[in-house]
Amino acid sequence: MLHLDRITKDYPGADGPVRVLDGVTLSLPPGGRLAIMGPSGSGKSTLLSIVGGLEPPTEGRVTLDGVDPYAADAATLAAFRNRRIGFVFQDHHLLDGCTALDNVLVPALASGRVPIDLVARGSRLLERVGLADRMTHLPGELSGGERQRVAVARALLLSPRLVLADEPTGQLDSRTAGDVAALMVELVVESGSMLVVVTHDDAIADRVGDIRRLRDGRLEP
Amino acid sequence: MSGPVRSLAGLAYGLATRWWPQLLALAAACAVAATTIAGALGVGDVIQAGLHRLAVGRLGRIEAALLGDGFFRRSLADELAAAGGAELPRLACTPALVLPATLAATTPGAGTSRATLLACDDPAGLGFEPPPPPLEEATVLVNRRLASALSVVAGDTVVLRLPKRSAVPADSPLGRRVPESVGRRLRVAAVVADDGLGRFSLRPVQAAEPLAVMSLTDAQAILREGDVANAVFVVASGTSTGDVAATIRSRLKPRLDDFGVVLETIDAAVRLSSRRLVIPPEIDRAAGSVLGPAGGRATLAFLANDIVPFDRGGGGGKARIPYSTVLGIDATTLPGGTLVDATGTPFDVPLDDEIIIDRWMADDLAAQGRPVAPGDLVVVTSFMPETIHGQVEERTESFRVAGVAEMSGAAVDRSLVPEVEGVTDEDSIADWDPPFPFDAARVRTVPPHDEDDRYWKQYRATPKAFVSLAAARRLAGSRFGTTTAWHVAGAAVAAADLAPRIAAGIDPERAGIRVMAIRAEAEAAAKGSTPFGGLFLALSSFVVVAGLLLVWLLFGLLVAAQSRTLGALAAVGFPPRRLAAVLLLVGGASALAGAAVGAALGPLWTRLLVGLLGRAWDRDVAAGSAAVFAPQPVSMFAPAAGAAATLALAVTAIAVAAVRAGRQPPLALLRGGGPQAGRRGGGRTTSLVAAVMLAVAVAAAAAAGRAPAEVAVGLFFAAGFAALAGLLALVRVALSSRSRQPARDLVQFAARTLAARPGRAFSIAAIVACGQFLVVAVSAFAVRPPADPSDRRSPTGGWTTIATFGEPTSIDPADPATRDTLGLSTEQERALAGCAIALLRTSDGDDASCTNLNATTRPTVVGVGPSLIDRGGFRFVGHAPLDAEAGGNPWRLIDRLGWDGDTAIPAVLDQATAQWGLKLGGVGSRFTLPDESGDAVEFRIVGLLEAGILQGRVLVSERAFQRLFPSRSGYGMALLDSSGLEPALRASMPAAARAAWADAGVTLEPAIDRLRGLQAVQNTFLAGFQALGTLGLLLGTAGVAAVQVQGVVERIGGLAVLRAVGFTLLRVRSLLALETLVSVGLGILAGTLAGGIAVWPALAGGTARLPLAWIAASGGLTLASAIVAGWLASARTAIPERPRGG
Repeated sequence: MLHLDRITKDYPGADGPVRVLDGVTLSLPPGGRLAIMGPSGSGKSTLLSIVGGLEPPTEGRVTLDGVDPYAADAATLAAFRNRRIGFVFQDHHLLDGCTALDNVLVPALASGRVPIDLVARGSRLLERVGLADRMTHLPGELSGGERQRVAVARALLLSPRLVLADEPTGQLDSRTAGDVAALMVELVVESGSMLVVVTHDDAIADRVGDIRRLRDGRLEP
Repeated sequence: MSGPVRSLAGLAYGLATRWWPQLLALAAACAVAATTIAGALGVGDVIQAGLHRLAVGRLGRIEAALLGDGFFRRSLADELAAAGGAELPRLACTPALVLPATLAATTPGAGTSRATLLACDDPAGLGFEPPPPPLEEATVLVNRRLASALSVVAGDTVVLRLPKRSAVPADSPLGRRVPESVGRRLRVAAVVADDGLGRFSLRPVQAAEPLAVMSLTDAQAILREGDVANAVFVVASGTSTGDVAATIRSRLKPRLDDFGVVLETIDAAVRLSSRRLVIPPEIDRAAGSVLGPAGGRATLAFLANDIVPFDRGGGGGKARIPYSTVLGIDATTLPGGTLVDATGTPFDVPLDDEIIIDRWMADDLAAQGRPVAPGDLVVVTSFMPETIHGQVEERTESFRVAGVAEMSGAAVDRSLVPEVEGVTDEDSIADWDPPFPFDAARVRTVPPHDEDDRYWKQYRATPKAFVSLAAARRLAGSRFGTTTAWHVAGAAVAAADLAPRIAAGIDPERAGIRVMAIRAEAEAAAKGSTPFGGLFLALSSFVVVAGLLLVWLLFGLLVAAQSRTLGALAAVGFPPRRLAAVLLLVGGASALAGAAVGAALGPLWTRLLVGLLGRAWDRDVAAGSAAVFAPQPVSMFAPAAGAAATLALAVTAIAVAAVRAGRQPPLALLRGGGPQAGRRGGGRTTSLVAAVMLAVAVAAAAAAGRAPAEVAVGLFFAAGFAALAGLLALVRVALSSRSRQPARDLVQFAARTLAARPGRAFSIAAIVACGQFLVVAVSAFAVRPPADPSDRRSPTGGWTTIATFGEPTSIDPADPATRDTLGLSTEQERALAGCAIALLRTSDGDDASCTNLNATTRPTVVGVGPSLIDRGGFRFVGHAPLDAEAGGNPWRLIDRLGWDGDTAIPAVLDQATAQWGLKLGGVGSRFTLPDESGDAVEFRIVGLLEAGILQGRVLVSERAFQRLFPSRSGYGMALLDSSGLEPALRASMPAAARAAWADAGVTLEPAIDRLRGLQAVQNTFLAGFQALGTLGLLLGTAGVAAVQVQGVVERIGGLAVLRAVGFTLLRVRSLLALETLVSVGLGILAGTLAGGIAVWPALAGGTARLPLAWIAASGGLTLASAIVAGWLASARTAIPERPRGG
């Protein structure tokens, strides 16, 4: 269960603090899927960062399965992200020099040596996203859609409780975007994880499931 | 910048103002390269200039000198000055005595020191700066070096002792082997600085040597040799001094007495004789050409220790005639009359196996009961004409009696035999004080049997027997000469007429009066024996390569960092060439600024290197050498050359990188990361390059092991470069290789991330490899004293002490009979008896060892006798093939004079001198050196020694030495081995040796100290080269920092993802550190292996040793500093926990 309780986020500005999020409250049940839409600057990505343990809120509380990540130290917070969260970024941010499989396995490297079963899982995930014949390719040798599929596989490697996707198809053409979104949802459903997607794209939002709109830092009812 | 940008230069300026941090780093790398080149070139310049300054300083305004083996008339200097008349150049000639002296302070506990005595009445006339103070009677000036050794100041009293030279060669039986000295107390008038006159020396040395200066008149009074000198120093003046030495040679007109020979009229006859007893060959030749046609006759007198009638029965052999003069003649009619028999019939010249005895001898033998008659045999015992290793030995020869000469005419002519001090001038034969073993018991001096004394009183040294001149020369002829006198009969012949004609026929150089162009020689020597500039430049080249790699790397990083800006320019229509031009302008200006800074810093780097070198040299090698390394006025050549070379290389590197960047598609640039992003090296070509270069390296290293020394140096560098290039190519391949296996740990992951930009990692590895190569290659040659100096195969040869003599001596304390005559205490005698002693003959050459910075053209030749040859020792790094006769001892090879029809003199040298000092080559190489007469003599190298205590000398057999330097008597140095003595005796050995050789001006030096001094030279240079290696490693560290800063900036998104997916900051930084570890580690590995390959021949030959601990320490420190530098650099950029976007 993901629960956000009156989340507020202020950034310092020239004329005093600028409020980006203003008392956002929402809950997502286990296995739940949510698409958050809104215009640019509405606070979507900030909200996602706060949920993913990347950025603490100014006020309010985030809990995932009853755990408040910001109540712990930095190392625990990093472990929280590693074990419970899977990220898919708009820019895939795959690592140069690392093959597709290497990139998928990166989260496992955060805590030490990659166990062999995770290597197998990474391979299976790549097969699952249709990149069985691209496992040893470098990012530069992959298309945009393929790179994003690698990013999806990477997000799911450690079977996170929550997958957060920030404009995951923002740099893809509409057809590829649709394919990637469908695949992502399918895989998340298979894994039983919760999914929160921030997007401008109505079609993508529709594929996710529930849709909430964010405007001026507030969730519309 | 004001106003819009309207030109390419303006755009470049604008970009440069925004890119200044990266451009500053680029300029700094160029500055390092330029500083290194300019500094290295400057080292050679400074040392050469220093040597030149000292060379000029130690000679004042002296252009040339006339130097005599013996004394000549002081007035020869005046004659020389006047000889030219009004011709130019005008020669100011200052007569002087230059002698080895021993000085002792008179205060209790004060020191004693050997010194060079310069005795001349007008030292100020020699043009030294500052002018020396005037010399007063009975005073002496000492230089600071000598004053320090003696602990004296102005006003103190010192005792100055000069060797009293034996006119007769010490190596002949009548030569005095126990030197005597004469001395006098003098007041120290002043202590002069070790500069100007205080640095006076005829030898090219860089350190001031102990020097005493006194008036010539005072020195003559001490020597009691008359108004003599043995040097004339010439200062030239006039519009053109030209070749002063040639002018002196053309004007020099010595007289016969300047050569130590006397042409005198005795009883209406003329006799030419020599103070040396035997007339030197050159003078004999000239005399023969003048006196021969005038009816002159050469004779050779020698001493017969015994003349004994041959007893066929084997018994009754008691009759004998002791200590008789025998004369070799080629005519029986001599100026004093004719040899006639009892009937008045003149004798024929005896055949070579015949002897004519005089009536006195015949009667005396008859009186002894053994009358001899014509046809009988007599046995003549005489000394060998030359001592053998300092010992006189006898030989016997049988002659058939040709007849008995009556006591008239030539048989009673005293003038046939020249005077010999201590022998012919004694009133009684009982008073003889000869230098040879004299058995007074044989001589009958006590009445009634005082026959010998009565003969002496009546006839003195008049010959008692006559043999043919050929037979006499066979028995008594030697390298010192084969004639004791020339005799010309007839009052009509005037000595005054003959003398100038004989003198004019003598070549002064061959007769011991040499003209030395000492200034020209000093200036040639000042060019230095070792090409310091070239050596430093060669080793600096590795640092320069490292610096240029850093330039390449930094420029690549700059392009990558500014990729989006460049992409924007490309997108708006900048063609590739124009884009490259912008980059070249920006980078080139930066390189220019760096090179200019390097040109300014180069002299400082030179000063630092030379300063360190000078301090180490002064401390460890030769005290007083610091002046060579003193700061010199800056020469513009080195900085200009350093800046120009750097600029050319850097601009080339920048241009290549700029053109590559300019060719990138605009979109690729806009994506960021620069032209190297995603570029993969490796592949077959690089692998092929690696294989070829490694093969070249191994081949060059293998060839270096067998090549002559001078070629081996080039092969060392070739092997080093090739090995480094080959191994770095392998590193490039390794960095570019991509495993199909997934990265499962952080190390593999780091390798993956490095592979994303292999060029950068490779550059780091290459820079570090250059530095590490230098450290390894250089430190392998560091030398240490042997663990066991008594080991005969060590560089000491097992010898414990080196004795050098101010005046050659023939005293051999190894000889029990000699020891008895030395007045030693029982303990001292025991100490010397238990020592192994090898006496070595030495020529007047220069020290060619590495401790002498001057170039040497006339190295000291050392004659090695059986005491060293049979003992063997030292370690040969190469020698000619040994046969059974050599018995496994390569030293025996130098005793093969004329062996196998080869007339070249076999010589052994140490490898360092052959390679660096004299640049002669390896075993089998041939070279020429002047002999005593100045004629070029060919030598061949039959063995090369590991550098040791005999370094800097050309070692030949004693026999060869005597052929080369026939007039040189005595031994110049000795090696002593006291390791076999019990400790108490060993401690007393130095005192015993000093007592034994006191009058020879002996200086004792522990062999291990000499070795340390020699090794300090190599180690001092190595320290300088290691500094270069360290500089290379520092450049690598700087490169790591630059790469990390840029790498973090470029990969900020990827690193943020890592943090987002759970990497702690520590783990992200660990990943960056691992990347550094891999690239730097590969560089260290490549540098170490390349260094190992380059020094492999030396390792195999045992002349180098890999200091593994030092290599590990330097590698570890480099790694640690690189990681710290990388860590600190990466810490400058905050790594966020989420990537940009959204």
